[in-house]
Amino acid sequence: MTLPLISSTRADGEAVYLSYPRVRIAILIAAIAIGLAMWFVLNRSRLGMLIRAGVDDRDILAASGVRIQYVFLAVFAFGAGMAGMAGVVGGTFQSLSPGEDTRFLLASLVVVIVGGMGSIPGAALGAVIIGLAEQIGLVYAPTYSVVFTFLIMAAVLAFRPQGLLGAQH
Amino acid sequence: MVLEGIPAPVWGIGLLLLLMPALASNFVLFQIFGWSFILGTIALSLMVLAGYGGMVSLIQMTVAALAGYVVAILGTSGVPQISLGWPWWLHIPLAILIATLFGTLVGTLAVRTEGIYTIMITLAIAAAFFYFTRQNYGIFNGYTGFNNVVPPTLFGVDWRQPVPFYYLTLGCATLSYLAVVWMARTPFGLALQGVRDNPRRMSALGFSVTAHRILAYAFASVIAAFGGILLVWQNAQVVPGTAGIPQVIDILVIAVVGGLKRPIGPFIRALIYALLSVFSSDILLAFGMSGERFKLVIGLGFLAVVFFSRMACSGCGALDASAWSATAAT
Repeated sequence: MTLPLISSTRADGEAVYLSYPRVRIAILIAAIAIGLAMWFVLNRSRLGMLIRAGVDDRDILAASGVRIQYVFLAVFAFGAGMAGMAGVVGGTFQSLSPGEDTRFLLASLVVVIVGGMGSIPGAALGAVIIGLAEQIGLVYAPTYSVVFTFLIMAAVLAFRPQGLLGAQH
Repeated sequence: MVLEGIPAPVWGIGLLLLLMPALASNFVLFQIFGWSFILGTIALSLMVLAGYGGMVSLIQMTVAALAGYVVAILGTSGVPQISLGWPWWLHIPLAILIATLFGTLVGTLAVRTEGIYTIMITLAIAAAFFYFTRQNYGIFNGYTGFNNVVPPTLFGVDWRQPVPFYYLTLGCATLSYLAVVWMARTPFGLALQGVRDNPRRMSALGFSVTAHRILAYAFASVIAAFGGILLVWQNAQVVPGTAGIPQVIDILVIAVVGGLKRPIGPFIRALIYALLSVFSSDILLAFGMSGERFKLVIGLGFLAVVFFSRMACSGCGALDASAWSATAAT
């Protein structure tokens, strides 16, 4: 897909328009849609109320008759499903090799630490920050891009240990 | 006073270990006992933090690997363009100092969090260290690391021979064990355990919770640094994979599985782990199965113990620390 942005000019003065893969836009739209749906379920539905209550005080919720084990099992299964979906999309779109699981683990850990646990806008913000930092770091200082993400994480931890949008306990 | 804290079976084990060179072959001494003492020392440092401090930290293997790297960089190795070749009485204390500083720095970042956050943060820093050492060629020599890092020949003894190395690792393991037993009974150790059990009450009594935790990280890092130097001497090399995620998880398994109460636990479990790693491929082959799947055996064993053991979960139960301290405060 060609965008109306000019990236360079050819020798005869004609402009070369920046072309951007359509699949990346599709991934972006899908991720935003899933994020909005998850936020809606978590904050505006009864199931989301149960989950948030279970995180805050598990014993009282179990005492009031909710099968909290099954709720958490469902949440874990849903999270695993999301991770699987991301793996399918990421694995077909980019390369996959035996060392990739550690790289994804590190990236997701740093995103959650920076964004704050229990907050979907926090996860989105953390993903944007860390993703941009890592990719820009790959362009300007290829060997130390991992260190950039680590420095951001250390800075966030030093000033705001619960994450940028994490709940204050 | 320290000796009262050691249970009687440990004395028996200690006596047997002193006489082991008369009973065991060189391979068993060097590969199994030496390795299990080293792993046990590093796992002991994790046990200090998790059992006495209530913080499950995954940074101990990274601290150990950093000490090994500093020994390789400042001492002699097979990479002469990076190694500085300083004498042993300079580079060994410096390695311990630098590794302890690193561990304390990670501690200052991690002590403001608790439970799952501490695990996540230390795991992230450990993974970042792994990737950094793998990609940096100026100091850490990247993927190939340093080889031919051997102990110095002191007092006319080549410390890398099986019997001297066995006694060296036995001595370090004994010192670390005694240090932990002593620490647990000092006022600092008791205050640390109080901080583990109920931080709010301790801070109301006037103890600085953060300072105690950071000091615990420093103490554990010293022990891990000793283990790391011995580890690099045993392997005669240090590579980024020394502190890779599988090794970090291995230390977690050794330290945590089966309970966090007794300092002798990590050493026993490290011995079991070393035996499993060395012999399980033979056991699997004897059963007609593929010998490369030994890690599967270890992983399944870990799952089984965690699932069926409550003591393991109470050690890992830093996740419930906030809820528990809230209920304990009422």
